[in-house]
Amino acid sequence: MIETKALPKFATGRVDASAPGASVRLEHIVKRYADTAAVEGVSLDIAAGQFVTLLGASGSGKTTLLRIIAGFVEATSGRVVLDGEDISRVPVHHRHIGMVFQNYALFPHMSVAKNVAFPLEMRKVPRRARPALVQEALEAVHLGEFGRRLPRELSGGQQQRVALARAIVGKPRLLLMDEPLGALDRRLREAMQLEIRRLSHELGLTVVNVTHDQEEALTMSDRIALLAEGRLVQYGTPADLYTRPNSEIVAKFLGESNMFRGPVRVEDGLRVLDLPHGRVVVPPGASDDGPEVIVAVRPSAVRIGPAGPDAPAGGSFMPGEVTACVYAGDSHKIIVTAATGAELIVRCDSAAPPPCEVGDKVILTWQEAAGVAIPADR
Amino acid sequence: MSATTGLPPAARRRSPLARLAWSDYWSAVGLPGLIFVILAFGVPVLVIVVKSLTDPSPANYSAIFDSGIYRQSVGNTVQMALVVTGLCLLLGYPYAYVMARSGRILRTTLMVALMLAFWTSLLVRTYSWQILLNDTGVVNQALMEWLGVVDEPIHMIRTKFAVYVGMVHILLPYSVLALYAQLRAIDPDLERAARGMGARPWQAFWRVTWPLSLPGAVAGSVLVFVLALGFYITPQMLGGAQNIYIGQAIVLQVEEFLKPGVGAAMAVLLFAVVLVVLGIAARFVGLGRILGIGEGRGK
Repeated sequence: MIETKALPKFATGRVDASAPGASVRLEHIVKRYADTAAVEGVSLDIAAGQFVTLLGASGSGKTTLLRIIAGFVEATSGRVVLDGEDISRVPVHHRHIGMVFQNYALFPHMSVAKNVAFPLEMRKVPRRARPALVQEALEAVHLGEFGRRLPRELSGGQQQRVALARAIVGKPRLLLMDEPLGALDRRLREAMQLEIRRLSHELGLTVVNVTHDQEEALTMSDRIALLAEGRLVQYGTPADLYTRPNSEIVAKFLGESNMFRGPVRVEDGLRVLDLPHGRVVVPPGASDDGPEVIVAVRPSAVRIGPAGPDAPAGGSFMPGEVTACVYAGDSHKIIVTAATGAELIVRCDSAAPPPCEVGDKVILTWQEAAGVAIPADR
Repeated sequence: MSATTGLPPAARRRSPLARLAWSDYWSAVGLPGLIFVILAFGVPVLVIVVKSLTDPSPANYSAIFDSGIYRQSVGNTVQMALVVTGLCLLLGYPYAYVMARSGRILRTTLMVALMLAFWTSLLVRTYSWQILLNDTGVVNQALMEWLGVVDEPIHMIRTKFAVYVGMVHILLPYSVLALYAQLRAIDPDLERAARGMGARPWQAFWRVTWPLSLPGAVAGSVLVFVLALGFYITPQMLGGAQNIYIGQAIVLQVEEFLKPGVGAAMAVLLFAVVLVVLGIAARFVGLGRILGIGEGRGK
């Protein structure tokens, strides 16, 4: 009851502010250690109030980039611009950026309330104003009653909430999160994803989140910046990256994809991949500069049917043999070894019985529009 | 104690010692060590205690306090132990901090330097300080002949100064290692988090790292203090005759005044004081941490 009453108060306090979150611009950030480059020229524009996820495998430079924004790591070259102000040379303690660490970094010798009060104390918020602000922040994360506890007396999820409360209590222009949900179990992680999303929206915060979890990135973000080997590969909305990946890396990273790769030739007025078996129509959009093109098809867009004597007329198809059929709860996952030798995945509705058995000769078909053409990486 | 309830009936019928040995494989393996400690440490302590009470009588204990030399040595010793403990903390903390927060190469270098000193025989190190600090020693030669800063040698050997230098050199590794173990256990992200929340570097240190490192500081300091109380060789070789410490006072009683009973009583008293200091400290930081077993490492 206290929570529901206090929450809007806290929220409106922030939303009323003229410019809650800051806009962030990264200009050609480079970070080299000795002779290896951790970040190689990343430029990124983040609008005020947006939730952006830096997504990538370990070693992609996403954490280094976050630490450069926070000021813990100094970039070799490039600029970090916050609301039009170059903060590249501003020391950490003057940046006024909130941060949630992967292991929360709660001060173990201070109570929860003292932890949350710490940024207020450092920023010289008058002593009398602090308890109310601390209480508001704790209630915003549903921990209003926990101020007197020590961090170690809380569960992992509660500690995560305290870290979040501590990061937002000072009303920062920007909130950074370094794999904030990595240590939580799946159910808690999903609940926290929605929770963080709600809070950041209500407070109008600009958020930069780092994760290697594609599901988390898709669920939480307004924009995803996919990084690989220190470079920015694609920057766009989750739907952009999922449905229109601009490279093989992106298609592989976000969800399952069946990939066909080959040179393009024209057959009966259709642009198709030059493959020894089947027919893979190249949808429009791919540049023809490269010698080869990749066509990616999501497993759920593929239909499976018994192999017939004739090739289906029109559209794409690929013959193969079923090598595995797995019940995956919301779908049947069917693995097919294509005639070309590639391993393909098909997802079928699990409400119906599986359409085939292991060893069946099948033919896979899909609409031209279901495929995406991607220039092949060299 | 109540472990019998958990044992199978066959084990319960055996004699207590056999049960102790057989109930746990490791206690059987540890038994020779235990016997050695009892013979080499427990028995001598008992002999000294008995001697202090019977050679010739418990009056030994009151005789201690009649001895002006002993009273003086207690004052000297406590003062020396406190100064050495303070210096070890002051010099050891930055060293341990740099070691805990630096990269692999610097850390290894610092660790090797520390351990080389640590593993060098106490006698060798004490003699080296004698050579260095003598009126005709290396330091005075350097000051007079090479640098020409002074005309007369500075008198350092046989002073409190020489004792402090030697003692700090020998005991510093204990405080550094205790502090290092503690500082390593503190997540570096804590200081980063504090900095990110607006704390200046010294504020982040003072509010976060320092309080979290206190158990290590206390553990190291108690260890240094307790070891310094009973030191004999270094004060004997570097200190002057006008300033004697407890260890030397005990030797005087035994060898010069031929009163081994009084010497034994002094030793028992020192032992009791050490136990009390350890006991008090253990209430705050845990005995395992002071002695460097368990707790101090890891979390």
